[in-house]
Amino acid sequence: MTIEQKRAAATVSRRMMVSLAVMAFGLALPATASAQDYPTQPIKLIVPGTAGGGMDVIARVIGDRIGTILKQPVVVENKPGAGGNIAVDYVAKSKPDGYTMLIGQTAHFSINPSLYSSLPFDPVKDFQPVTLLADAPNVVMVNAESPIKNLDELVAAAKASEKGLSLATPGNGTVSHLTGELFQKTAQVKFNHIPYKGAAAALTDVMGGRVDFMLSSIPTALSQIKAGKLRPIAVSAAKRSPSLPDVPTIGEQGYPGFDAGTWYGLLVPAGTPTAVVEKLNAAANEAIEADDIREKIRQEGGDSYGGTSAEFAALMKADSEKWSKVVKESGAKVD
Amino acid sequence: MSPTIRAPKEFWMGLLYLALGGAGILIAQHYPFGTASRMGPGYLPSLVCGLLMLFGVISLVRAVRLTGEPIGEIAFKPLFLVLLSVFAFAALSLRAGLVIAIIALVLISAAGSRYFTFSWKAMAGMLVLVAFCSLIFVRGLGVPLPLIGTWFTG
Amino acid sequence: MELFGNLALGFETALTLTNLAYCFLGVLLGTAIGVLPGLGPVATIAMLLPLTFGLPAETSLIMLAGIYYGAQYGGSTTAILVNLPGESSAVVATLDGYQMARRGRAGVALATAAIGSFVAGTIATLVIVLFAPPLAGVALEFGAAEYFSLMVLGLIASIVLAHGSLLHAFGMILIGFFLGFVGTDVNSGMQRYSFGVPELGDGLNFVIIAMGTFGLGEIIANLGTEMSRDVHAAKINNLMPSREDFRRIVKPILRGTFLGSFLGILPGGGAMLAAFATYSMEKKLSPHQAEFGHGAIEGVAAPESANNAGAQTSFIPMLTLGIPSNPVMALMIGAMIIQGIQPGPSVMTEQPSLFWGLIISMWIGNLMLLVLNLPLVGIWVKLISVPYHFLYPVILTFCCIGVFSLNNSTFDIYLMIIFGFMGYVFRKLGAEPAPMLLAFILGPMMEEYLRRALLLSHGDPAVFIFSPISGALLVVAVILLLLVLLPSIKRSRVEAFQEEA
Repeated sequence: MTIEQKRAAATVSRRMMVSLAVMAFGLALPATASAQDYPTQPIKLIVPGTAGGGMDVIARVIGDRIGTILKQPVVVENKPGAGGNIAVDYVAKSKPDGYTMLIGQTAHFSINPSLYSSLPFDPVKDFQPVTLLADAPNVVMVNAESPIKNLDELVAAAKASEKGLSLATPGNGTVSHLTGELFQKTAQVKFNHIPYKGAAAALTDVMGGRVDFMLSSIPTALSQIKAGKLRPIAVSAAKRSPSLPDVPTIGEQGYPGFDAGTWYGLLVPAGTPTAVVEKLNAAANEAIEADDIREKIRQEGGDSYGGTSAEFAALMKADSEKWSKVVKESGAKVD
Repeated sequence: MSPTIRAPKEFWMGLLYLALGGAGILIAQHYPFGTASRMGPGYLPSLVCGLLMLFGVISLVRAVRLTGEPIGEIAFKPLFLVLLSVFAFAALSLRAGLVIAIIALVLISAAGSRYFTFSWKAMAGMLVLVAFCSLIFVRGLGVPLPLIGTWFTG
Repeated sequence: MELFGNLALGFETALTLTNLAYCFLGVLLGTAIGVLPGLGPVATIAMLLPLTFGLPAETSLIMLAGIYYGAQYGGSTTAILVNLPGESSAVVATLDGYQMARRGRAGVALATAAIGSFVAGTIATLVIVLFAPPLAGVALEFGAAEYFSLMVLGLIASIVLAHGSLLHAFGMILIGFFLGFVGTDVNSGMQRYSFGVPELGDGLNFVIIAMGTFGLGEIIANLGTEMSRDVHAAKINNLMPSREDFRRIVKPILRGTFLGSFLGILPGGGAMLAAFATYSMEKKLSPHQAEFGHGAIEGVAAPESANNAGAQTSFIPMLTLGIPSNPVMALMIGAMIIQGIQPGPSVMTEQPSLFWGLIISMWIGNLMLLVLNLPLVGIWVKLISVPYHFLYPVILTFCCIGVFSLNNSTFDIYLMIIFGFMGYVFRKLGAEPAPMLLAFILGPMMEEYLRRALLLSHGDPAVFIFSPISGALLVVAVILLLLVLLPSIKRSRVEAFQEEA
């Protein structure tokens, strides 16, 4: 073992001790805070998903760094359930003091409001956007042995087949599913939608040749793509992805303007003091601009984007309009 | 043959099956049924609940035709106190905090035992438990339960 | 030979002082959280994940893997000692393990579990070393139709689990299916039986049902009979299995290991079946059939071995295909990605020291678990010899905190109260909850696979028969069903005659 590794190991155990101690100490402190000396106690970062999900990893990486910058630990708390609605609702009803943050994504703020007939929170009025963190496009892929090489061939094959090509997605109402719906409408084709419970099972079936093609976020499929088991034929965003620079976008392949991806962003409850929001915005931007964090997000298949809270709010608004149209036209409904 | 219940366990299981199956089938009416080759979300629930009701009927028939053991004495006091103690924990853990919630859970549930008495040894044991849980679960493993709840911190 | 080179590389990596230390830290932490009911490895690994960024990739994966199989191990300790299954595979350990504990053989049961797990771990490691690449392909052969048929087979085998009435074993399976419907339907995205409660949107959690029906139900029942018989007061004879015990567990351990190793490879739910399937198999094969359900040592040895072997081989699809078979594997993939390693077929060739080091470390970790746990057996047995009226409030406290930690929500504790009540009712009515729990686990998967298979075949049910794997599994299922039904039909006829007379 090299000296660097030893040193790294030692630092980690020291860090482990320190953060455990800080966490313990911090939890016992009473809540006293003013916007000037914010933060004076640990900040909770609520993740609307199980520990270990794709978003969880991004949240932990960024949260860890924000904690270092603000000199207060950021404690990640997982609140899975109901497509993220439980976590989002929890933050919506938390004290707007900057000590409860949410890492949200497209599905929670732009899709669920039109998918669910009633939500216990208002995605616009109950939240103060802090900043956009990252953006991860979806990728259209087929088995490496499939004759289909590009989007044109896919559409042609779909139109030629009697029963329609089967399209695997990680689930009903996911961004991948609705991207598929949007593409069906754009390209005037009809697919046989096969929803799965998460991307892993869907990947297995595409690799096993039981499903014709699949739509999923890049990180879930990147290793299979790199290993040559799956062939990526298009990415769904407006720009090519840095993780897959050779794969053209859907727009480049004859459907200009096609843009569908998942963003991840940081939000706090509405009514949080502006000074606190600005502090958080600055810390989050500093965190995602760091090279190592940017690299980690890239490995997860995303592009890191910072920006002001106003820019983030505008993006959320535009996305909500886009997806609510898709949801309505596809007739998808959850309850 | 007179319809007297000679197997009470069968009888109550039968009622349980019928109640679950009946309620399930009623609710499943709101879910699209679909066809055998394209099943809707209501297809299998209806099937399973229908079978449950059938099993309920069979059990009821068996209840009068076979002879079974009696149910035996029902432990109402422990049943009530154990469930109540868990309820108290759930209700108190976030509001009053983990320390009080554990004390409530232990005292209420312990009252369900016939051997329950106040003794210094038991009280000390309880405090050790409180300390253990606070250290291991909350501080060590990061379970987000407050030691002192919102009632006291405002 | 290439194999020996690989093994040498593996030992070289796994035996460095740091890696040994982190491996030990992992299994120790894993055992601890496994023993505490309700706390799973997922939350712990997720929490430690950011702290492993600074470690070398091998070291961090070795530690995380240690937590995983350490937790599997610790889980059965609690199941045996106090009838609290913290996860699906531990349910089987409660069946005979807890009965052994009640008869004063807790030490023997724990030691058997430890020895069985170690043997299984050793063989499974060997399986991975020898066959990982060819076996990886097996995972891809299993599609929706194949998994459905596999689960039908598993479910039919599970009827053997019950030692009471066959009718009620089927009945409890139906109730398990029913409970499994709660939540979001995968195919339509529709919410079923959730009554508009968002917490029910993702369905009921297995741990809540298990803790309620087994844990709370058992406590209430014990308190009800407190006077007539002293719970756990049975004299503790010896801690280690006797020569006779060893003779009885050799074959079950080996059979369990092989079935577990095979099922563990299937990422779509195979590992969950392993413990249940071996238990059923042993019950049919054993010359001591009457003892099953009342503390048969085979009923502990076989499923524990299967469980550990399955936990081990479930690394195969993760390492060779990049497909996670459970949330822990998903986390491990996350950890690899953060380390800049793309999990998938290339790991073995591009990161040989990681691949082989991890595998060898699993074997070393299993050895550590054995050394760690055999001396602990005496302490555990002492712990449960504490008078029951001091013990059960502690069990209840751990149940509550464990259930809370699932979703960090008190709603789940309230739900557990309902299942605790149901557990007591079932007990009083002589209905066993084990088949219900298995059906609860398998039901949603079976529905998902059944409907997906039909979606993919455009509604043609022939896929289940014409797929060779699926067809073969269904044939075995039918034979097994006949085997199970025939003797009991005969028996119930005899009983009926006796009752008429």
